[in-house]
Amino acid sequence: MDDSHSDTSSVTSFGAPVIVPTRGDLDKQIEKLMKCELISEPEVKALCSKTREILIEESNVQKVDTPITICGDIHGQFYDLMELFKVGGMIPDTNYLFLGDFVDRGFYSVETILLLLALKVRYPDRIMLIRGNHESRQITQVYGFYDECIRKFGGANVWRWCTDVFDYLSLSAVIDGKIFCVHGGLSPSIQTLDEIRTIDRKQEVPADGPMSDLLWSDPEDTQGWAISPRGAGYLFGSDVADQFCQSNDVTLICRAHQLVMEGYKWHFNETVLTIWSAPNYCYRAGNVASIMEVDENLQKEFTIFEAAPQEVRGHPNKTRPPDYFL
Amino acid sequence: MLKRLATGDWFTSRTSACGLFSVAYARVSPALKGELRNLFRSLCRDDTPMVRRAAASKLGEFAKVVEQDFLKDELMSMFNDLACDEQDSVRLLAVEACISIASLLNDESTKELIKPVMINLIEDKSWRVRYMVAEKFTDIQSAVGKDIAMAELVPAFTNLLKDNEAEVRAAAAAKVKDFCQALPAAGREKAILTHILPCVKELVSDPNQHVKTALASVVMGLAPTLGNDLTVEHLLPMYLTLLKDDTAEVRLNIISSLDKVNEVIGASQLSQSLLPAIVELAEDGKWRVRLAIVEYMPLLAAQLGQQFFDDKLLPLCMTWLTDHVYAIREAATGILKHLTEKFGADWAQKTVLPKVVALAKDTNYLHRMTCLFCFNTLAEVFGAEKTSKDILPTVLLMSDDNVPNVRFNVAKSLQKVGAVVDAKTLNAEVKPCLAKMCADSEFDVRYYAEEARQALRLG
Ligand SMILES: [Mn+2]
Repeated sequence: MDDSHSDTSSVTSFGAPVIVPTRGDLDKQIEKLMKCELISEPEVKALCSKTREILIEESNVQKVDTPITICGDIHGQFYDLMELFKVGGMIPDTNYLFLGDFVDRGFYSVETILLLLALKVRYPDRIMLIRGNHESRQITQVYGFYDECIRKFGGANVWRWCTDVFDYLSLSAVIDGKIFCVHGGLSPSIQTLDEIRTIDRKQEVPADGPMSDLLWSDPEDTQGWAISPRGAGYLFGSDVADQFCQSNDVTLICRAHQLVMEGYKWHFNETVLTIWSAPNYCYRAGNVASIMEVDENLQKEFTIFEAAPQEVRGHPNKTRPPDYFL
Repeated sequence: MLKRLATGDWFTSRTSACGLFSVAYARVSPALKGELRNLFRSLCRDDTPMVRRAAASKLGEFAKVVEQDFLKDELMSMFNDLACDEQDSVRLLAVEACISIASLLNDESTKELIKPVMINLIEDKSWRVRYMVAEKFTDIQSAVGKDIAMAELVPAFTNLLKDNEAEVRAAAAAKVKDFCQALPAAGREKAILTHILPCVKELVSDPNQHVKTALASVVMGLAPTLGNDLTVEHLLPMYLTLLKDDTAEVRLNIISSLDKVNEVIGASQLSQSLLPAIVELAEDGKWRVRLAIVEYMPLLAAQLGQQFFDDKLLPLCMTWLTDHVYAIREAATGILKHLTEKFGADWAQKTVLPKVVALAKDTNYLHRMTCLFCFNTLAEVFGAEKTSKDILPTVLLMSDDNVPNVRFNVAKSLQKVGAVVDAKTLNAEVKPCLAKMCADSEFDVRYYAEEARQALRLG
């Protein structure tokens, strides 16, 4: 057996030595999490510790092979993630790259991130997770993940362990050397992939600078760079995208980060692509979601999917009788 | 204490008092019982709607502990007050009280007492009350007894089906099957045909999709009650219309209950009228609709027989194997087993297998894996000889696939196939292949190859 996958206990900065989950443990945890049931706090601690060990080995620009299925924002919409797997196939049979923003906004950020981490630890070569702007201590305290951890575990430990893991998530990926994948977009301080490789990523997402830009920027129908209304990252134009593709010998910049009603959207003569995987975002936007399958010849196929129907959701929002208490 | 609560100045205390009567009543002397009934009556007439609402919601519980005599006069009059309360939120709660009281009145003549009040509730001017009535309609039906049900409730029910408010129509539509089934056998068919079906036919083209969705989920259930001829004459046209409805949920609800018509109308009718619609839905844009059709295939196969199935439906099954949605491919793989069990391994070998083997060379790795999943299923019903001759060679070939996911699924397949073939083939062909895979460059391939080796005791 491969040494890098063997089960040994390890000492981490979490303090006491943490017992690393065995594959059997992980399979049980995945089974539970797939039903949207929580695992115990010690299990979360061990899972996060093991995830960090795996992520620390990954590059800021992680090489990924085809065939692979690329997914955009999930935002804690657990039952819609199940829908995604029904449409795209389950791990490990289908290879996945998730472009970040796993948590916040939806009702099940905790179950969603724990499931993705458990899958990452169980099948590190079959699923790749990169960091979104919501994988941050600051943002998760405002948009729901922190509160959800407190509510579901009665304390901040799980939030602390998860956000510690976030610091180790890779910033980008390159598929077969040709498709550059990132959560937000480009940065005026980055021209080459090598410049991304030199970033010390193991930290909270900074307020500005190249690392922040990769997670926050958006494409915009313009030339050059412009200030982003988000207050972080930049807007980049088609010439910037063209130049980046040329300098780095890539054909496509694939990103997420922006809601698109049709699930995906091409920009700038197909040099930039937005993929969005949270259907009916925030349970009210009315959008469809998509995933993109990229085959061994870099042929792309999109699959559109909708929000999971009410009857497969955990807490069915049953049609209430008219509200007679008003 | 109850008295203090019930006469308290704060409406909150009077509200909470309402819930305590049913507990207290059974434990006090007859004199006090009278006092409690009077107290409850005053709560039913309280100035604050909140208190009357609480009283209305607890009246049913209270009625259960009150003696039959007092029930008939005193509680009935309290109920009458609440049922014509000026606030619709109070009347709404009286609906449930009505069901409780009606089921407590144990002879038909006393049930007549409650009839006029109940009819008023059913025809209430507030749609929220009518909605509640529609929601609870089958409870009302069983509480009032057969005679009233037939004479009074059938017209009342059809009125709800024709209600101006879509919410009310939808709630009533959802009760169509249960209501019709629970009608007394004598006169049921006539009541359905002359009163209910005409309204139901209108609902098939209702402008509101929720009404149609509700109807679609139950209307198939009428088939067993009506029997073969009437189903074909009256229900089939409705099914066909709903199958083509614009709303996916309507189509889905209809398909999901197709098995109920099956039992009634038989193969030839089915193939002539339903099949064209089904074939169309096999390519529906919504994958859940396609999934429902896939899952319906074994049932259709049993009804239509092999020849017909091969001609009309087998091509669909093969197309689903390369559907772009995984859940459809998975379901299509799953039904191969049922079909093979039904039509035999020879049939599968001749008709299914060539197409499955061809998938081994598909350009999409997800489809190449589908090929392996089909093999896993077929090996279970093929037996040793067919499996080693027709399945194993392709599996072995695929062990050199470029994509690791295909290779580790080859390992998983070899575990299944290896358990079926004879010992000689196992040692001569499966064993060396797994040994090779145990030295694969990918961890997952080595992992599953090792697992298969251990499971097959090839260690
Ligand atoms: Mn984002």
